Amino acid sequence: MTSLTLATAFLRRRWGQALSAVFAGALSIALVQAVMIAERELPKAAEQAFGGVDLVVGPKGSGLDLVLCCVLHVTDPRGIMPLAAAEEVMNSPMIKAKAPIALGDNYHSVRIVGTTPDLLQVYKAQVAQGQIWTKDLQAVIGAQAARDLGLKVGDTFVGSHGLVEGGEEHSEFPYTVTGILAPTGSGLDRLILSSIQTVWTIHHHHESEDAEEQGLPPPPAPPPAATAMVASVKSPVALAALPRQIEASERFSAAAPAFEIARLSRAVRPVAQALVAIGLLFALVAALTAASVLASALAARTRDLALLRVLGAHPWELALIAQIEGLILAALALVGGEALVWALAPSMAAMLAERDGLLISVLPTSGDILLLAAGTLIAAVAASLFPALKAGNASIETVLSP
Amino acid sequence: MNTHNISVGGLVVERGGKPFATAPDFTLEAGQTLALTGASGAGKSTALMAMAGIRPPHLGSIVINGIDPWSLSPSKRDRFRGHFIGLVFQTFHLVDAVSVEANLTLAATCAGLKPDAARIKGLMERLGIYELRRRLPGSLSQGQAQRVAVARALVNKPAVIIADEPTSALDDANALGLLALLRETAQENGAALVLATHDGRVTQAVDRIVTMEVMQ
Repeated sequence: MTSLTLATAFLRRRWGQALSAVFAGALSIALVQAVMIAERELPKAAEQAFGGVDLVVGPKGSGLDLVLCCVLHVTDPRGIMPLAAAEEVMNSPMIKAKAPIALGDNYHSVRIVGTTPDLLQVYKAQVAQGQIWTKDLQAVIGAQAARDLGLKVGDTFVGSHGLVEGGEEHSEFPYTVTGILAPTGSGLDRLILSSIQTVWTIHHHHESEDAEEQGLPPPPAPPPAATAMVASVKSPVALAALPRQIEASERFSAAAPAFEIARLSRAVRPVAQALVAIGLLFALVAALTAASVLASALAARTRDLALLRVLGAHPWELALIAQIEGLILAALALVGGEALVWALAPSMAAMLAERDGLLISVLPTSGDILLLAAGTLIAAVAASLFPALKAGNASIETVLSP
Repeated sequence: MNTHNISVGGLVVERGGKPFATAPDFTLEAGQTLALTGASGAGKSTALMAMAGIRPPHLGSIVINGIDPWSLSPSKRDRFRGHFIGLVFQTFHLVDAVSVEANLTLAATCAGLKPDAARIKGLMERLGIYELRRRLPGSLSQGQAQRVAVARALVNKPAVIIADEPTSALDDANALGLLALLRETAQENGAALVLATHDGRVTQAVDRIVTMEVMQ
């Protein structure tokens, strides 16, 4: 009878305890795996949220504001800028693609962005269904927005004034959906795109109506303006040079989303680190719990193991049996934990994509699994060390007491 | 060199670190039986533990098959016990996670010996437990478990079988049956038999009786 068959027999004999150890271990492993995935994928998701936007230029103000408003689309715009001058300042051979952004309306709180088809080039986005707009009042819907709003190619809708629901509806200007974008994982997924001319027309009409209500003559059409311009650049050198160059002008601010978010991250790093630390602490507590359940499952075997010493077994043979038991439990916990992660990962990924537009991989990599297996192995050896030593040194006399 | 199966001389056992009781000297050859008697608490089990290499004596010599187990290192003493001493306990102490047959196999492997399948089969047949070989000890009756314990003690052809109060919980018929079984199997296997007991039924069935004496 080998140590392995004996260890298996001992486990089978106390299968309830073994099962709890495996269950606790599997949950801990799944939790540690989740922390590892989050650590790796969340920074990627933040980067993904910028799409291909390397640079954003807007009216003079805070760079971070520009990024939050015109790349991530989470804050309100601070003003507008003349489009011709902005295009001039961005007229550089270092720019790969650029597009204006004009904000002002929404449909059920989803922002309607006036722009040019070049925006798709900046974001490296593709039309999944239908086609890009070719005329005014045609709209292309971001993947998540289309899903949330239930819009499909051929549908029509009416935008309302402002960036959140409840503003005055522009019922004279119904949009027709001509295309749906493929998901990008960026802010673009949560937008409705149309021609910039459409936004200008609707707003001029709105201002004219206001003037009419006040008995004033209709205002002249304003010069073309935009909330911001977004661009992708050809090289990292451009990313260092262009913002400085543009910031030197008195009228515009320029920001690189990656830099701004990195700056913001540095500011909130203690909080982020605290959150990661809490996550790791939680995982550590879970791992220790599993180790303690494993240790107590093995400690229950002390009598069995000491009995083998009565029959002549060497202390190291008993220690080996205890270690094998620990390793079997750890291996089962690892398989259980990974199975849990792989079972939950697809629905988790789908939920993140649907709810937050995050296109991240929540599946563990082979590196993750190897790292976790090594950690589990060390934890199992450590957890079974004490019962193993105890078994090896157990007082035979105590065991033999009736 | 002493080639008796077991030889005990000047044995003093201790309790709480102090000398407590003495056992008369004795020597046993193959097939001979001895009852170690004395009142309850007179140190019979402690003396057996000393002979089995489990609890050190305060004084005295114990030689089994020519070797003093207390001259060996703890791990070598464990191996020696597994090989040359067959133990039968009052509460059997079978390994309850494995089958009857595996309990017998374990006695050999734990002692560092290659299990002799034919001998194990023969012992099981001799003791009437062959049909029970796949059962776990927890499912056996007391009598069946007792026979498994005896079989296990005999697997490695020990020089001595040491049995602690083997009949204390048995009625007359079973007690006499077990005694006969222990005597016969010890003789068949060339082992000496030492029984600690205060049971009159046992003392009538052995070759010699020695009595523990509590020290004043």
